[in-house]
Amino acid sequence: MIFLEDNKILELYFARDEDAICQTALAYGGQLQRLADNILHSPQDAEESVSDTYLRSWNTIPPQRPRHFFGYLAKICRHLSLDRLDWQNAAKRKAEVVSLTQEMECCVPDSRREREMRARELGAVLDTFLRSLTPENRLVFLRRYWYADTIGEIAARYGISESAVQMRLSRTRTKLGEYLKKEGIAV
Amino acid sequence: MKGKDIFLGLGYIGADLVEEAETAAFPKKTEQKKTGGHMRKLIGIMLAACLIFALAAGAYAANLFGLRELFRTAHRELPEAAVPYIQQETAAAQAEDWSCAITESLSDDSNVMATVTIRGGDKYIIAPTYVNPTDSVMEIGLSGDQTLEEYAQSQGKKLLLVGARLTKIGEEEVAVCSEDIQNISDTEMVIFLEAARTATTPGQQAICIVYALEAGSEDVQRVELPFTLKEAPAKSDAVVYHPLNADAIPGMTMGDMTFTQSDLGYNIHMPVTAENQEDIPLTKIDGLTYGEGGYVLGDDGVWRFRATMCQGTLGDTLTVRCYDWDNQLIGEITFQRAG
Repeated sequence: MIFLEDNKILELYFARDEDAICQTALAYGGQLQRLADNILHSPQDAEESVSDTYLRSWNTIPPQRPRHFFGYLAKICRHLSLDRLDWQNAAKRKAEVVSLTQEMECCVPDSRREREMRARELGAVLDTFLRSLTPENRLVFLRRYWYADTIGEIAARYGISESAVQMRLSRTRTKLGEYLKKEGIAV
Repeated sequence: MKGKDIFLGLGYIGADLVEEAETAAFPKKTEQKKTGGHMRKLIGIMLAACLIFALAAGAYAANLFGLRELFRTAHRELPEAAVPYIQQETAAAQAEDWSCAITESLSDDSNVMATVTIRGGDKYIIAPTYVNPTDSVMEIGLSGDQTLEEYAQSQGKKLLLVGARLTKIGEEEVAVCSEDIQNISDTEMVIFLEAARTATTPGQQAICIVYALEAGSEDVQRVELPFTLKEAPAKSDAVVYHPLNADAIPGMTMGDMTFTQSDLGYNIHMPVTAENQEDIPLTKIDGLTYGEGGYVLGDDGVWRFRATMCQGTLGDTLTVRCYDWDNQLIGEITFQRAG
């Protein structure tokens, strides 16, 4: 199967050629489905999130012309999947996402000021923090907390032991906690 | 602020970071299929692996940083029975300003281990890839308040972040390779590598990739070191144990436990199903000692408990005890020898 390069797919969007959706699905559908399923734990819900991602990309390109096309799609897909996630029910099901968020509690003690922090502002802080990490630690952290991969999946993906994954995540969470404190966020 | 806020906040990081996490580093063929053939960012500079010199056999075997010593550091004492099967290796390569060499290897029908030495020469301070240049020099075994990059500058050198992994054993792609590191000096590091294998043919070739990244650079350099395996012979046919109470651990079901034996010890494989992969416990078997036993997700989507070079005696029954990550016992399962 031949996949079009990102620029060629984007040209289809700009030409308002509906084949853009098809080519996007061919190139990235599997990865988006997996991302959504990691969050929703429901293939059907995940499929709807991915379909909505295609629709959102169709409606936003143009005017936007993302430099990182997959990253652009994945961000939309993750937002839509989290919007679709019923946090209360997910908690009852012990869904992966809820356990992931609990895993990070240790580095972010609660406070009034933090509650006022909007996700977008926090995202900018996290972006800076992530760029300060080594590539390996950044990748492991993002696979865990962005893509919601399991420890075993991360270990297999990068060819390291599960204990090494746990160690890197633990160190990075500690660093994140310290970083947020320095930024005046977790005080 | 709650973990949920962080999780949601991550949704607003740069798309380049998101894309990097999907495509970059530690490339494997199975992963390349998933990416649809798109280019990886850290393709890096493939260095021709010029096998230029045979390190004097056992150059490091004779010192404190051979496979036996690294195995002890990573796990426990290497079984005496395994010592005669340690092979002195000669594969080595010279990159532009650093070099690397496989020094020793040890293998049987289930497992491959090797030690790799990486030297920074006159130009580089060597550190593992998981550190940050702003981390303490304690990361490479030195004392003091300096960061790694400050230390490198004070020595008039640059910082080279290095790692290694076994990528191929015979025709098998290596899915999981563990890596334990030890700095010999500030310019020299030895890495202990360990990977599982499923198919054994005498004289198979294994491939080790050594990768290096100069701090501040985006160009990952990679060197390929092939070496030939000389396996310790298998000793007996496989022995299978059936679980008598396979569902004794909440959320998990244990399958049959299979033991194979080589001169290095017993190797254990046991498939499990788990409702929640995060609940997979620490697992110990009464009367058997092993190094790093643990659960690995196979390409077939099945989790397997795997332990290698186990020492001990097999009876008619075995008791497996499972612990949570706080080391609290959560249940035990009795296995009965089949046949």
